[in-house]
Amino acid sequence: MKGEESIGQVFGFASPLIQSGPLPGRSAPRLRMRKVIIGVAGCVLFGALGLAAQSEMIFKGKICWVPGGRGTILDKSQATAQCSEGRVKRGAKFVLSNLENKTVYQLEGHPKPKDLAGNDVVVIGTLDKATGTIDVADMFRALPPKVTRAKSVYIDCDACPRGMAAAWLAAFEELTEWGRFDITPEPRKADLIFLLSANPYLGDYVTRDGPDKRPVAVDITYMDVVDPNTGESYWDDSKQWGAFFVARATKDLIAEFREELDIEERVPHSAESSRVQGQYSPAFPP
Amino acid sequence: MRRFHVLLFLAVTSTASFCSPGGVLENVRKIQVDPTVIEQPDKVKDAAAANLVRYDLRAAVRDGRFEEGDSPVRAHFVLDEFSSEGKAKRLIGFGSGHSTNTVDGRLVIQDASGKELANVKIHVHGSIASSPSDGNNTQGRQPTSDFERRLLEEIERLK
Repeated sequence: MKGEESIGQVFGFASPLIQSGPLPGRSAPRLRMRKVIIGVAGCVLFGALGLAAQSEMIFKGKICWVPGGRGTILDKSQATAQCSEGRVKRGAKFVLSNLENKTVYQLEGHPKPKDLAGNDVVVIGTLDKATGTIDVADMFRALPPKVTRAKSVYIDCDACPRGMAAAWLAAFEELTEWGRFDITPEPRKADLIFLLSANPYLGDYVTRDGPDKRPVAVDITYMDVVDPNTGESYWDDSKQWGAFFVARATKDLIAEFREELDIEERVPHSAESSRVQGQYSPAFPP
Repeated sequence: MRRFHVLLFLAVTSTASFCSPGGVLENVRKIQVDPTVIEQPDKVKDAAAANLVRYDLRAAVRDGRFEEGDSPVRAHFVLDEFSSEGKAKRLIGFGSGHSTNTVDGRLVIQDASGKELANVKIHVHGSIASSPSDGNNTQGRQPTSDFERRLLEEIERLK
């Protein structure tokens, strides 16, 4: 019954685009036929969209490369044995290797897999089981357990004059709305530092003596999630939205981090999950 | 007779100043900062205001050289009114990033039984978020906002 109703609705939406009213001389069976055709077309269209959404999956593993020119299908054992994380050779093919899961997939569609070579990553894409290839829709560096376990954060706005001064409050508001972390005024007691700046982070949060002395042009908003003990950056991104949109850029960066953390936590390391309308449920429970 | 009165007055005031007990926070090492209390929600429109006020109070407690955590001595802020400057005024600032707020309320210190040890009225028209651009040490905390500075003054007075 619901199917018929939805077909009716599709027809209801689509018919004005085709004709404004019944044409003279058209017989009733012909109209019924048109209804059926539009209904079937609607079903096929929405069905295809649904299938496409369902086939997109999340994968976890390490990016490494294998020498190119060996055919498209890789033998799992061969690939894991030859999987290299060192200097990338010309014509190399990038693969996603998961030793826990004992899977190796070739990666296609990502513009710069080389940048992530040797890193643990999260890949969102469509798997072609016949060729063992993932058509990558998105790929990002996996967050270490220290980030997923963190309870408290400290917001630091470094090199934040003029328009950049809006970044601190924007970060506070966004993190308050998120509600996941305790925002502490004590950097030494924080599990993570949310470092905002108009200049790229140099990895010197712990070792630097005094403030960042580089000149500041408020154009790009940088955000790094930094380990307060080592100064290592676990996550970073930037938005070049100019001085008037620093607050919005900051909120957007935190939202992006939140989304990646959310994906990361829903999928165990050894699992692959299907992605359906933003909901991630394990397809192959570990 | 007059001389006697003057001498008596001096003696009383000096005794009072030497023997007067310290503030309610004397001999206190640790303070627990409780969530902000909003009695009239219609006068506090900003969703982050309560957390921002508590953050500044925690920072002021820390700046006052107290530890923050579980303690019989508790502090919280009763926020009566919170308002931010309008968008037009912010635009006049030409992207300076600084915002001015008006905070009206009371700093309340209580003991373990809930008895009020201090209740200080506070009104601040100035910054409430930290102004990090004035900072000179990236590894320490950023300098205080106007509101945090005011809270710190009151805490120091209660020592």
